[in-house]
Amino acid sequence: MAVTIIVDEFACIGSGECVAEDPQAIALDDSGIAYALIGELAQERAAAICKVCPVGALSMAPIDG
Amino acid sequence: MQQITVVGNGVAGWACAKRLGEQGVPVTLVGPGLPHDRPPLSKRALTSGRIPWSTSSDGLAELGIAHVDGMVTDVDFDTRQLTVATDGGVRTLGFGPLVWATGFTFPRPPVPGLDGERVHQNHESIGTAKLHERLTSVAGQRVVVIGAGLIGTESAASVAGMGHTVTLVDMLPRPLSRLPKAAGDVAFAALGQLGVVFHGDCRITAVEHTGSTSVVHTTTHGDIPADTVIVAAGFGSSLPTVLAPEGGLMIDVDETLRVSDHVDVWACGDCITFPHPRWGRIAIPHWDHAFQSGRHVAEAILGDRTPYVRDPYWFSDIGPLRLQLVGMAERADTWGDENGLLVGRDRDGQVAAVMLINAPARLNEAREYVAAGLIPTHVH
Repeated sequence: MAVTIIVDEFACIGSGECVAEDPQAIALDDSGIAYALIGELAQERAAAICKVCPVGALSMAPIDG
Repeated sequence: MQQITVVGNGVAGWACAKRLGEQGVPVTLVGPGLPHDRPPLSKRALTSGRIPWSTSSDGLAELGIAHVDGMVTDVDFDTRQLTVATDGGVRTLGFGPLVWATGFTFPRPPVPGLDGERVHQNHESIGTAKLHERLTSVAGQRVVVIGAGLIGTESAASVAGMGHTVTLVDMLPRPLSRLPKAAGDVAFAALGQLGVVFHGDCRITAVEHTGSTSVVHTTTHGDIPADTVIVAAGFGSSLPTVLAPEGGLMIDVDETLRVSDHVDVWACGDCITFPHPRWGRIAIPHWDHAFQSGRHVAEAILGDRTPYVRDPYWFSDIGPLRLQLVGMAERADTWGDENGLLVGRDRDGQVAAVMLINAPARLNEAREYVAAGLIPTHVH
């Protein structure tokens, strides 16, 4: 199933763990806040990224269709 | 399981309390206000005014965490009672197993005029909210930031990004002076690109407030006018005498983060030194350690006897500049570029630290370099 990563930008503390996990899929902006580079990811790949966030700022949402 | 009392609701205390609560352990969390995170306070929270709360009152209740909103002012290990100052007065609180996680305090430097409400601090939620309000009340302010450590340097960059004219001053010669020189050099360049003026080796004699403006008097850089003054310099002990005689900053804990002089007492976060298998007894006053050590104490209370061996790691954002460091920079004798990474090696040639400059994708690689340094060369 394809999903997208949702970033709670006010919970993100910029630890960088998500980028270290999958730098092709997620990056940090100039405020050190995570943002998704790819809009559609396999659920397993997205789950691995979300799992390493120490503050739970990342979550997944299914993509319709 | 017995009720666990966690003193301190910063990053370490909250990480510990949350983990225990998730495991169904009853917790009393003592600390002023709701838990919130710290890194955004000099960045996104400062510019947006939105505090990064870690939870809410309902969230605490859902985890079975009883919150005592106050500051512990004394602890008696004989009677096992805490003295807590709250808005409603002083109260005593009995405790069984105890976790100490009070971090540091941030007393203002003893300079005339730096005390009082005209000078701002943004190391916690209330101060950050108040500073945000001040910075958004009038555009184009002259802002002086005193102290060019991580918080001061990040804050200067953020405030400049809000359109204010920023002067950053420090008694040391360059920004981030306590970090590897390369960090200070790239921070200095990034600040310059943001229009921040940096005055190093600055000696402040007083801060004078007249009407709505202030003047920072120095013996080295003349008088610096300011509409807003931020102080981000200095830290002090949060520990009662019984835990740290003579105003000590740190509690020594063992490899499972237990305080050996007392029964059923653990400590975590900025206010501890712990025995690292490679580095010896160290302190790591940064977010990652606060979080990881808080979680580790929770696991220790739950029965895990695994030693705490986390390597130091910190991260910083100074405008568009991303800095990350893994390992013990102060143990590095030499620094050099190795495969695009800034690597510090100790006197035995082992990797002591790796600094990443705008290279967040290589964090795990940096960790592997430092961890490889753990392998003694005489073991085969």
